[in-house]
Amino acid sequence: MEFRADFILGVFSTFTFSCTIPLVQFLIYTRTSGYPDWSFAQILLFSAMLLFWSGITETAFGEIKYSIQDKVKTGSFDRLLVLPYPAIIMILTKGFNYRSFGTILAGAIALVYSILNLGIVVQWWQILLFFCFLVIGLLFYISLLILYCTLCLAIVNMMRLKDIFDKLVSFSFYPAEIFGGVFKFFYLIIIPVAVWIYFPVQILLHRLDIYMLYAMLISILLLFLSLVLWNLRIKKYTSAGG
Amino acid sequence: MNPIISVQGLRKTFKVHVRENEGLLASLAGVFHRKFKYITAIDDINLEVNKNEIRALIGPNGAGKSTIIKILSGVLYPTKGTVKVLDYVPWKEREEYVKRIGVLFGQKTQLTWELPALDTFAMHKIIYKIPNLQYKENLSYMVSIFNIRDIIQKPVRNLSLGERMKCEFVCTLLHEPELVFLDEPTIGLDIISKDNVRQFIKRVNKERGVTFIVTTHDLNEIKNLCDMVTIVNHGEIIYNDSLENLKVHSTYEKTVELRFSKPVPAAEANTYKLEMINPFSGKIKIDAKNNNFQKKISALLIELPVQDISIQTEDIETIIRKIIST
Repeated sequence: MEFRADFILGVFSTFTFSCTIPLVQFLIYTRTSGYPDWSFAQILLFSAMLLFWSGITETAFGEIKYSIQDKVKTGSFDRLLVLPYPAIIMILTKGFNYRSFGTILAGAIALVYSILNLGIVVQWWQILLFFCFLVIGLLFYISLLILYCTLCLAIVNMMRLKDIFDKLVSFSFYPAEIFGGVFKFFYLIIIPVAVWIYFPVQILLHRLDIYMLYAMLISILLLFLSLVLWNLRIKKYTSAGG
Repeated sequence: MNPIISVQGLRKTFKVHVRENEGLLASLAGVFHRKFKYITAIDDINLEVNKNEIRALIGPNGAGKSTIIKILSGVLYPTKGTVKVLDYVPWKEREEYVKRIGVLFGQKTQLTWELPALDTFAMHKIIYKIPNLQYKENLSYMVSIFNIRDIIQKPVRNLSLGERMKCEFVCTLLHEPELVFLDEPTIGLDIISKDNVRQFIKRVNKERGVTFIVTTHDLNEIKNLCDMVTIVNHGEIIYNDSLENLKVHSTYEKTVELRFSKPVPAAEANTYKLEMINPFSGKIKIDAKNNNFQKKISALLIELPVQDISIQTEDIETIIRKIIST
């Protein structure tokens, strides 16, 4: 009973909480001068994508940030190294968090509603590009998680690492237009958090630009770089005492 | 016979932070300036293990046993030395290699706490790609030895330590490993559970030809289980031979225990240098190499009201303690 109750309550609470996010966006939009170059309906679409994306990442990888530090500190990370798969794959598969399923559901409903509300006629190439950016976004997110795990392995005890990670991710919660100068450059190219929400929404709104290509390349490069760093670090893994 | 484990000149050093003083100021100073030193956990380890052995790896805490196990199982990279286990270099070909070994860390569970052990077994079936028939046969074989048919269906958090350890063993051996590393497998178990685990290891070793490397502090385990013993101290192997040959290191000192039919006065006991346990029993240590051994025993039997006598040689525990301390 305890698991069923936890699942039902977890999905219900995340679904309910997620539904309030478009309301918050409405309040921000109506009480401020809004976001430059974004109508309210477009901002709702952005919020829907934010929900949908957060739901996917939290469901697939939500537990990793908590569990990796614990595993390294207690030495139970050793157990992953005696399984016949790359240790990083084993870590990534251990991040599943079923409670966030409600957020995916809320995000998907909001996404369909927003598209219909905007009267967008979605072309096949948009669907293709949208899913392509979902995959690229996931690869980029995984790269950051691998770097996070590499740092955990090196530093062992760093409580604030998760907060830094979350702050970095939170930059993606706003459209590029609110950032200026160097920040925008970082947002779109250097650490292209735009691949998660901003670019997929731009694709649905028929607003393609060259930064999408750069971000795609940077994401793939970062994945390789993070794997190289991870493999270097794993050679120096010291385990914990008995 | 070709050894399945062959280790030559193995060394592992760790870089550790040195804190010279205790307290808050020393902690703050450590933020700005840290001193490090290298400690050698194991050095010049040479070891060969043959197929079908049950090998004990023993030594005091911090001797380097777990470091050896972790290198042999591919968890740690060594600083120096060569290792071949089942024709693999563990840390280089780790993913292929671990399919053929089993590792049980007595203090690090592989079972999912909230789920029945049966679900973890099913997950291992997928992870190790165990064919359905082989999985069912292995599970049934081990479940019947341990008699845990009902236990494996309860959530792991509801199991006792002994029950959980039995499930850990099943999990470790499901994929039919040829070599199994057991790092303190009976830690915290009661005598009945310890005995169950030992019987299980013996049976699997005999019936399936599985080689076991066991680290333990329990000397009964060594006596009841292992053919070969490797003693490690300060990161070096100080004994590496059969349990039988360990007795070569024993002295000729015998402990003679006597039980008397009536109380023996303290003055009389002192005459024979008897250490009295109570007025009705006492013990004395006699060197059997000494020519007077027979004479001393005869004198005790004639002069004292001896009802019962037992003569004990040095036990394994004493011998091992002696080897480690020297």
